[in-house]
Amino acid sequence: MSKAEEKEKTENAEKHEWEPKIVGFLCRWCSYAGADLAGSSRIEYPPNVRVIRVPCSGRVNPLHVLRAFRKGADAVLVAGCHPGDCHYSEGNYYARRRLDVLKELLEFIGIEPERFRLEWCSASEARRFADVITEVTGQVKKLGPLNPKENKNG
Amino acid sequence: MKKIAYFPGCSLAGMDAEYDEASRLAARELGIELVEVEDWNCCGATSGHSTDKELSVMLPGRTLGTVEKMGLDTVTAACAACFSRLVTAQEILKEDKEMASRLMPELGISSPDAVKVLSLLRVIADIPKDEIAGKIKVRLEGLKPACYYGCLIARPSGLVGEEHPENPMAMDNLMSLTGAEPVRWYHKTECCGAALSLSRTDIVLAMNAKLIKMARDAGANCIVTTCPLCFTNLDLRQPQARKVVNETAPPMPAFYFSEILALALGIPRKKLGFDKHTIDVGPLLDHVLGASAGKGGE
Amino acid sequence: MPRIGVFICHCGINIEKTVDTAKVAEAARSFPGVVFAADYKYMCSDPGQNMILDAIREYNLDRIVVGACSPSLHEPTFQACVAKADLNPYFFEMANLREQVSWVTHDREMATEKAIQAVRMAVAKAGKSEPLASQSLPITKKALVIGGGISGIQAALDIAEAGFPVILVEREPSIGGRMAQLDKTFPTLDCSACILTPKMVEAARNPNITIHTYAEVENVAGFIGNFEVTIRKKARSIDMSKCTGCGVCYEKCPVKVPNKFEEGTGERKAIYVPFPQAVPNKPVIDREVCLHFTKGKCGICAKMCPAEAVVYNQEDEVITEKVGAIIVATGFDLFDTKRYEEYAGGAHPDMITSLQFERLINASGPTQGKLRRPSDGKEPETIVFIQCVGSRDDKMGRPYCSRICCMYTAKQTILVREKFPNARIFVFFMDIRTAGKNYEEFCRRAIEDYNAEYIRGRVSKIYPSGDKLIVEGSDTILGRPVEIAADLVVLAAGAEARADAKDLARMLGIQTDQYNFFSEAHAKLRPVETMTGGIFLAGACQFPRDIPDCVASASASAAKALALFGKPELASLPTVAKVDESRCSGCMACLSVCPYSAVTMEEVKNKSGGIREVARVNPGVCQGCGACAAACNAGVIDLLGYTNEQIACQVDAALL
Repeated sequence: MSKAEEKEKTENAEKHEWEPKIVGFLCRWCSYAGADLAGSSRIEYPPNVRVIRVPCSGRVNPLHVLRAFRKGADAVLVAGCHPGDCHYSEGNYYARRRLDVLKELLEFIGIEPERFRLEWCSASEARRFADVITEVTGQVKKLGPLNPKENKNG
Repeated sequence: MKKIAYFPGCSLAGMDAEYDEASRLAARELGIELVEVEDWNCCGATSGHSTDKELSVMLPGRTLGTVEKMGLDTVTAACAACFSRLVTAQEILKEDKEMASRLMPELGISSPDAVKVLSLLRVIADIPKDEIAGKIKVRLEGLKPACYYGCLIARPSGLVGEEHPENPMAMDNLMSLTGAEPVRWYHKTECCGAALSLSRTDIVLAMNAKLIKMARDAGANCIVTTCPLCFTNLDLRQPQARKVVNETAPPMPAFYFSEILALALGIPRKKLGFDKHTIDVGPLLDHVLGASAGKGGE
Repeated sequence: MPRIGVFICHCGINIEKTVDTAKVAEAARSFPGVVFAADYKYMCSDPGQNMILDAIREYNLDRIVVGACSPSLHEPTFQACVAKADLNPYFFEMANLREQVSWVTHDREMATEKAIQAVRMAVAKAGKSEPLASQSLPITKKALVIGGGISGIQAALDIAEAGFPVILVEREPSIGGRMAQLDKTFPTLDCSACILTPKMVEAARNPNITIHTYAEVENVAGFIGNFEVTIRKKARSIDMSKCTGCGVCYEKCPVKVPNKFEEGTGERKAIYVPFPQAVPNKPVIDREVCLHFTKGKCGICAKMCPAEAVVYNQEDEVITEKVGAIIVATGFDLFDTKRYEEYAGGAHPDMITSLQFERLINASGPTQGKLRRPSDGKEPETIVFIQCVGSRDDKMGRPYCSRICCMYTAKQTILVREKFPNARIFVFFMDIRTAGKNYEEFCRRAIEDYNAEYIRGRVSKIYPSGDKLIVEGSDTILGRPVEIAADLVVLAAGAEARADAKDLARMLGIQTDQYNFFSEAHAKLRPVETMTGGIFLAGACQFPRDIPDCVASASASAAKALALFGKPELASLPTVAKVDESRCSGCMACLSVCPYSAVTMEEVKNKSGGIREVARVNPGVCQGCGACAAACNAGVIDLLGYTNEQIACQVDAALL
């Protein structure tokens, strides 16, 4: 087998590797802007995150997160401004309180804590955003699908 | 007594036996037992690490693996070059995942962080000040050392545990505890010329003449170092360096920091290998130890 | 059933390079509700927008989705476009295929897949969109300018001249800022005070400008057009209406401390005017050092004052002001050169910063402009300037260029040469950056006509030897080490964000970059606006800038404020919270989380005639954060534009 063929083979194998689905709720002021900056800085990261833009991490209702898991997300990320930096002064504090409770509930119902992340990422932290996505994707790949057998559309 | 694995390296096992002796004695007085690494090998300094990256990791890597096997969590080297090689190998194993996965099982290393690597200076500097001060038996008043760190103890910054790469203070602070008065000078981390000593002796002599002049101008009556190579360049080469610049001032004694510490901790002067020094340290020690009423001296 | 049109932009090759846009459009045609999909080279261009308008007419579309760049760039463009076709702007949705797909994914297949997902989510959201409308809000046509340096002064003057009132807040006892500290300015060698002082006086005299010096903004509430700011006017211990500025008080004061205005090169008294041309030219008592306050003794100034203007028991005054726009012009701090410990251990009397140099060479400075060595008062014969101290140095966390140092160093060499024709003047530089009108010519003059010896290379060490400072560096052009015995070393300290910039950013709800400089809304197209409506940036608080750039950005920010004041009224945010009053139980959970007090409890009558309390959102006050919507256990409050239903549809679409 030539080197080129070999390379293609491994690439194909990589392509057919299972890809996790990650839903990301990003606050528009900090984390969504940080994700945009990752783009304008051309920082590559895994394509597994599907972004939902929200005005504030405080907008995210735990039910939104639960719905994502129910519909087949392998991981969910909520990202907002750093504590103290919320555009609406305190939305991220509410998010932290609500989602910390949710995290415990998730563990209770058997969802590994690594599958849910609450992150603070500012508009200037493009590298950090890319790193978080890379890390979460890597972790979830190790864990495997959340519900391998279940019908995702059910 | 706290046990720390100790990597002497070739210098301390040979030409610089006095550093080895002083370090073991001083450490013991301070409640630290330096346990020699079993069946240790070359650290890979100079030729090893500049010719083959993998070899440069494997040589000190074997030591790291051995220390882990000995069941100790910290390894120290008194020689700055050995210390640097150990730290660097550890860093490469952290960074280069591919090399790590290949070499670590062979070297018996479970994780790159499994063993902490500290310079001997850092091991001693991390002992609480009061504890050291309480064990000082001989106050070395009148000793005015220029603390000379050289290149490898404080660099690369971030890896070696010294606070500032340009102005480290660990040795100065230790010397102050012994009653000595370290001088403020600006050439603490200047190059000593290192191994150019053999190939370009002219450069090394010029550099050392300057270092000694700077120490003297700053008011020092001796120069204290942590590195066998620095010591050799400053001590053994000093008579030659003096000729190059037609120096008329008296020669400047050089010490290892652990020698000074050992003296202050009450180790008798005779037990320490001062006779191995090229520059006669006798008059200065007479002066300093005499001043402390002969206690612990001879 | 909505009729959705999808348009996928190539953005030249920016998106097309890694995303197969035709394939994305093809996929979109199968999404529920989509009746038309196409791809095009530049959707934001006129032909691109016309394509949308034509398709709306031809296919009777009522929802539009564009897959292109980030909505932060072109969402307003496309909202305006669909409005032309009489569609509600909120019937438009955008999928971010550039910043969040093509630019961050190299594999074309994966990028195309991610783009299809993003468009599917946008289509799902658009399918559930409702028409939203703004309300009109009043605008307080008054501006607040924070910082009274050249930028703040310029912005205040521009707004005041247009006929609107301005409040200028400065925390030091005088306006003037950094420019007041400078001796001459490049590239014209104008005396800095000579061109600044008239502006300071003009600001003080302008009836539309109210200046609060020795004052700080303590709180900012509200939103664009309707801010309420709290300002603390620190007790000056002087009755400003009585004081005549005669100066007897500080002549007799017995306390001497280093003068901050002189960068520590000179002293001032405990009661002081920071510099002779201060505006207002009236003193202030520094209570930290005044003997009356520290020891309870002394009272000389009060005794000496012929106007009885010294008031020891004066208290801070806290005032509130309503303003419609805020201009932030808080300037910069100087890099702390002590961090370079290889330079004489960080500090030496004969090693000064560039700003200290300005004071020492200034005729109204502590030495009356006689440049002498601080250690022994000797005339310096060899002077070494070192550029990039705290600039372009990753190790110091300052990888950026401070932009002003090359030019001010060239200027300083000329000033030295004018005083000392025979001195040797060296400049160590990394690169010379002189991009500006007449800048390069100016620097050439310093080198060729004023004989400053420029050496390309870094200085590795400075140490004292005898009464000299030995400067060791490298000449990277000649490829050899250099050693210079200097009498005086001037460190061109870089500019950095104010130490408390982050606190102000939090108070204002604006963003900062990784160095804590304030962030503009768009690096190229919205350079003086922040992401927060009604708050604009001027001068060096945004990034290091020289005087002409500061003045330009100040006028630009004033223009932005004036554009706001030119409107008769403001359109409120349409994406606000809304309560389904019929289902509200009046639990008040929403009330407690609203940061704007936009939720109130109102009494409503039941059908049966009974009265109950329900939550109601004031859409003019609501800023659309959605905290209430997430807090409402019954799901009775929703956030328009980001409804629970829309988010649910996006989640579902993401996971298909």
